[in-house]
Amino acid sequence: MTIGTSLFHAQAGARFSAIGAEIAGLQAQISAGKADPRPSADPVRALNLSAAQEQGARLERYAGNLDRAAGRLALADTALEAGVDIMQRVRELAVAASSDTMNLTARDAIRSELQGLRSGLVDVANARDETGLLFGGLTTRGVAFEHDANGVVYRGDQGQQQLRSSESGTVATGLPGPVLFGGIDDGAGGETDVFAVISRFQEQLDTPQPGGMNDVMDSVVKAADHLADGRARIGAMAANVDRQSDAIEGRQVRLTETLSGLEDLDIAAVVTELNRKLLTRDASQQSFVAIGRSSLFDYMR
Amino acid sequence: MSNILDIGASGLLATRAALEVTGDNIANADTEGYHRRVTVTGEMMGAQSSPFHRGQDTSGVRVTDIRRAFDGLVAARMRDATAGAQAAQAAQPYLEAAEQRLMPEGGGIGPALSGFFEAFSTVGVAPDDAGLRSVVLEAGRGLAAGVRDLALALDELAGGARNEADLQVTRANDILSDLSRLQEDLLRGVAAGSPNPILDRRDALLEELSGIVVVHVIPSDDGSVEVSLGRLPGGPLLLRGTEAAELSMPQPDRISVTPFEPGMAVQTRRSESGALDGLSQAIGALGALRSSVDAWAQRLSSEINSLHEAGARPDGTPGEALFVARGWQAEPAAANGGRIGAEVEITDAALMPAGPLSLVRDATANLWRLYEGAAEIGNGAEEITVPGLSLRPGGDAQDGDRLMLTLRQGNAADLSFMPAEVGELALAEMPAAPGSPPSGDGRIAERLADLAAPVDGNGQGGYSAQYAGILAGVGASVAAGRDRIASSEALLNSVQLAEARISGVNLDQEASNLMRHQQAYQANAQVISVAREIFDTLLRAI
Repeated sequence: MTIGTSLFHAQAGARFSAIGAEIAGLQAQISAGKADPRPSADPVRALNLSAAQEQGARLERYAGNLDRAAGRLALADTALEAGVDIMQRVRELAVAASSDTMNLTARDAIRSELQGLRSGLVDVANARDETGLLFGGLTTRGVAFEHDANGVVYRGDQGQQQLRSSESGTVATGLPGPVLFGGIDDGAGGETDVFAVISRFQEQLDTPQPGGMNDVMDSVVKAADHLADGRARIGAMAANVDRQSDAIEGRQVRLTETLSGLEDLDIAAVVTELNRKLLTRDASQQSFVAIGRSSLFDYMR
Repeated sequence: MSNILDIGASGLLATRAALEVTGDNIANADTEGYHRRVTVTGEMMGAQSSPFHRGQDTSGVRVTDIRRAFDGLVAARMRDATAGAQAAQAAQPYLEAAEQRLMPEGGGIGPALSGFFEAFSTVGVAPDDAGLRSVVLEAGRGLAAGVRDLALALDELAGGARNEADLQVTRANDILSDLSRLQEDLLRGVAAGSPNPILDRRDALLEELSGIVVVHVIPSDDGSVEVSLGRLPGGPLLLRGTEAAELSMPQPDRISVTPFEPGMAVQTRRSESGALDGLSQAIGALGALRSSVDAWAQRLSSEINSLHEAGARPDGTPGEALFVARGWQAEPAAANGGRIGAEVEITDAALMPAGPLSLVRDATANLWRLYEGAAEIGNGAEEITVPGLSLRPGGDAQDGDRLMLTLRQGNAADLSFMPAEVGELALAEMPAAPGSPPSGDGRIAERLADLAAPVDGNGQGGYSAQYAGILAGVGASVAAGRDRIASSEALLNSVQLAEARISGVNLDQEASNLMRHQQAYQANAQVISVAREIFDTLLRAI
């Protein structure tokens, strides 16, 4: 078959530049360490990659939310630890006050200590982190508990901050104040809170009722137990958050593997292909030179 | 007896002509459009016998034709293959640019989108934090700007394809008028010698023309060709004899032919192949891409807005729309003498006129006048300000030039993020008791952040995945375009080979021709020298 000389040169030139472009593309992939990210290179891989990246962002959000929940629960635990200590002291004072040998001076001392313990407990209930109240429900501003004419009243709400911790689940970052500091059986079928229990103790000291000290003792014990139970509930919630964090971390590790499978370059395969292409280029260049060099004109004289 | 000298001389002349043709072939080996020339020789007719002369069989050789090695069928296949390759190649740069633009590396909105939802997720846990709220404002503005820029970039790409198509139409019309001039030369016989160079030039132009629009070529008896639009015969006539029609492109996938015969109606056809068809496909694909970006942005805005409107601001009032896509479409009137454009800024959507508006240049007063219907609602030299709107006209408008402005909704190029203050973000759930302040929770922010992934049940959310779907669609058409280029080029290469076999110059072959003709020349010279010796012998014998 006869081929026009100019077409032979033009086609050889076009082939060399095409193979040169392929080699440059492979080289770029090798130096970037990533497979060609353009969807046109592999539409299905690009879709999977985008889904995996989106899932990565989602997992990061869940991990952040769980960190945040763990932080708030840890702060709540610390605050409640102080509350439990306060109630322990109130209990000791109640035991001391029940003693028949207590004199007036001692009673005054207990009364003023109770005053301090009660406001200390209000401070505990108003504990905050950098974003707001820990025990105000969904209310983050102002105070959760406040003294007024009727004693200590709750200013927050019954809400509970829920943060998304997985595609289908949420975690609570705490319990509202009334659940922790209130809800104590008052012995008469109703409910009371820890502040009222201490107030009732103070009243008993001011105007002793016969047998009243037994009731006080009873309710102080219940209040101390209730607060300790609340702390345990917070601890259980924190443990749950820890477990979920572990699960999310596990998913993140697996996702990283998936991502690297989709995104990272199969160096061995690409280098092999590069070598093959280099060989093809060299061979075709050499054969081009060999064919193009000899011409019948060389033999004319 | 003198015949033998004549025969030798005719052989010398013919082989010299053949040597010249070979030299021509070698010289033009690289000339584009050159078709190899072949020397055709024939016997000279001998003298007839008469009562006084004996008849002669031959009396030498003569060059009957210097033929162009041309095959009409291969040329037609070549034109089709060129049209196909050009169609595939013309669309590709635009599609590749669109793909690149949608990628994060090219300024795509993927990162802005995930940043936006991340901002809601972060503020959801601390909804009172003014710093985190302002992160939401920044992320929202960034996302809206990213969507706007993307929409404008796609419009710009489509505009570039339209400009290129206009240039190609101009080039096609130039080629048609060149062709009509060449045919005129051909028919008048201007080229005193052979018409071959004109034919080479004409075939090259026809090939270039079919790279722009596919044409059908029918040779006529007088050596000219008749060219019609389309791959098959019977399309609108583009060239006959010395007359050429004019092409135009009234809309992206239509080609109109204004016939050369006066009074004939303009004929419009769908583009079939060639660069114009590739460009029209690119414009179509970019338009479809643009609409899917519009639809995507609209869905994102409406779902986010309705959720945000259900939320409560810190002061207890309900939230307003976060994203609004509303703008003014400016369309210059067809009768304008100069170019005119305007920057339109919405300063307050509630106060602005409903439109349509028209902006008219008053050169005498050196003013721009803004009309709503027949009523003038404002004017100015540099800037026109009316309630809710501010316009800055530009261009080189002449007196009476007009710019029509209509309000449009839902165009991604107008998307803007509305809240200016952190207090305008309604991140809390509306309190059950009307009028009471919200508790400061971030439940609406959390639900907005949930929209990053598809929300179970109601089919909302999942915008990143949808965006990735749009991108993958572009990627698939880029990949398909690459395949089309590869296959059309393979076809073109095979037709080029076929053409080269017929028309191309092979230097080895020419070298062997050169030797052959050289030897023939020497042999003919030898004939003359033998004839002379015979004469000498005869003369000496007397």
